[in-house]
Amino acid sequence: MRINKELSKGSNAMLVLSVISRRDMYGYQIIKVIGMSSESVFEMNEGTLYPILHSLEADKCLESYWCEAEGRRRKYYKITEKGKKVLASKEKEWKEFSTAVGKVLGGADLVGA
Amino acid sequence: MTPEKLNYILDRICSGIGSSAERKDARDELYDHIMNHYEKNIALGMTEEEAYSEAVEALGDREKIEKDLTRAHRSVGRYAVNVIAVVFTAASCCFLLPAAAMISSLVQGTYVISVIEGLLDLVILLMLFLSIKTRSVIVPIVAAVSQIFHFMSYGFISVITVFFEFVTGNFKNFLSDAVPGEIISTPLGVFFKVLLTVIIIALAVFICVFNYRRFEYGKSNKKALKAAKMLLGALSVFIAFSVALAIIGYKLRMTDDYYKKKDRNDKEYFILYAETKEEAAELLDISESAVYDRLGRTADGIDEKFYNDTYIIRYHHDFNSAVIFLEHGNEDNVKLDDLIELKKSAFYIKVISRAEIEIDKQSGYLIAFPCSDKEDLNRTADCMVSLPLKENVTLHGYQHGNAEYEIILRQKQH
Repeated sequence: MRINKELSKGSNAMLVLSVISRRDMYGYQIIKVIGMSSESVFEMNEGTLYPILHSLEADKCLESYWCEAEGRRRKYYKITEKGKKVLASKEKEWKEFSTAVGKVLGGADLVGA
Repeated sequence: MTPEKLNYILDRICSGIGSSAERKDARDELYDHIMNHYEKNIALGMTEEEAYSEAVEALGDREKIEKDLTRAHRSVGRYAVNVIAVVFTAASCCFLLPAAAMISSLVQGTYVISVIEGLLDLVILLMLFLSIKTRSVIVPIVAAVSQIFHFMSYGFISVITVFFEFVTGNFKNFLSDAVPGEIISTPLGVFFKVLLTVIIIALAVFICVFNYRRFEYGKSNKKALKAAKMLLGALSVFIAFSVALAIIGYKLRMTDDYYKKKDRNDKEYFILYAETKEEAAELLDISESAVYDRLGRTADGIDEKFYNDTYIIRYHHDFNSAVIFLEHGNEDNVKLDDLIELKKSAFYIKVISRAEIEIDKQSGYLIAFPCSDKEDLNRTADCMVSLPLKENVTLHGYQHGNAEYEIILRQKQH
């Protein structure tokens, strides 16, 4: 099932930070891992991913390095300490958000309604 | 889809990134990504063309990617360059407008204006270099605007003047007009300045269009950009060289003025030595006709005349030179015959340069004239007068067009 883009927009940076926090990755790999991990729910395309990666790098949440692979340059990303803190903060925020949404959708008793 | 088309697409997507290093990195990264896609597609059995097309389609909206990447790579430095360019241009325009009214002061040989304008041009060329690297459109626009003020200030006068020089065949000063460093007040020098201005404006317009259009990176466009960079480099070197010469010329002019104005009642005596009437007039700051008008004749073939109470001008026909004497507290009516009677053993002053100088202590005369060998020296000793002076007196002399030299007294060997 494809998720509405507006719905997934806010979580893209968090998803990217999350997969990179496990190990250093390059762009194509990040898209594949996110796709496989979400069972194809999140099909991030290159046009979305790379601006996010570059913005996170500019914000010092990620740092990069180059390697030679298959006869061409390949850029790998790794998460920084600041990136870990940002990720932790976003995860906490997401959990609160998803819990609240779940409660509303689950029909929580409305006290005094 | 071909590899060439792919390169073009990647160049367009990354063209909004200001820094050339970041642009290259982003391009290489996207290229690696697309090639990963391409290889996967080939493994799935697609043809090359299909594999490329699918890989590029997977990028999504290319214009959006370009915008997002440009936004992600926007830097404070690039904004700073644009702000500095606008502020600088406004300041230089304010400077150039009054400078148009100061052209007459240039005739008096002040090199300061030339140096300042040269430095302004160097800054403008630096801004154009930065605009190529940062893909700025604002910087070349403001650079062109500041140069247009230059053109309006100087262009009309110089073009008309040089045109009339050509038409009338008045090339007398053409060569000296063209010498860098002395081009301040001459029409040809201003003409060169305007030509430089036009070239800079043309370069600025080219760079502005190139950055705005973000041309595809074909070979011809890359060559054109490379040629523009080389021209910027050559102009920078030429302007820097001209500024350096102008500074040297200014320094020499300061030296000249210094020695003309120094108080001659000090212990030090100043010698002004000129080879021609023209040089004598220039050193004394009088007209050539005034030098000639004051000449008289004596039986010795030496013309002498008096010019106020400070110095006497002598034009020695045999040596074809004007000899300037510094008179120290003497009267106007001292004649040459009197000086000859006072002839005694002399101190000869050997100048490090070409002149021989004698000193008359009583009158305070310093007599300088070209003397290349002993025969000349003896001859002049017969007709000139000198008296002993205190030894080890150091005199400072200045020869027009050269640096200061030292003159040390020593006793003549008999």
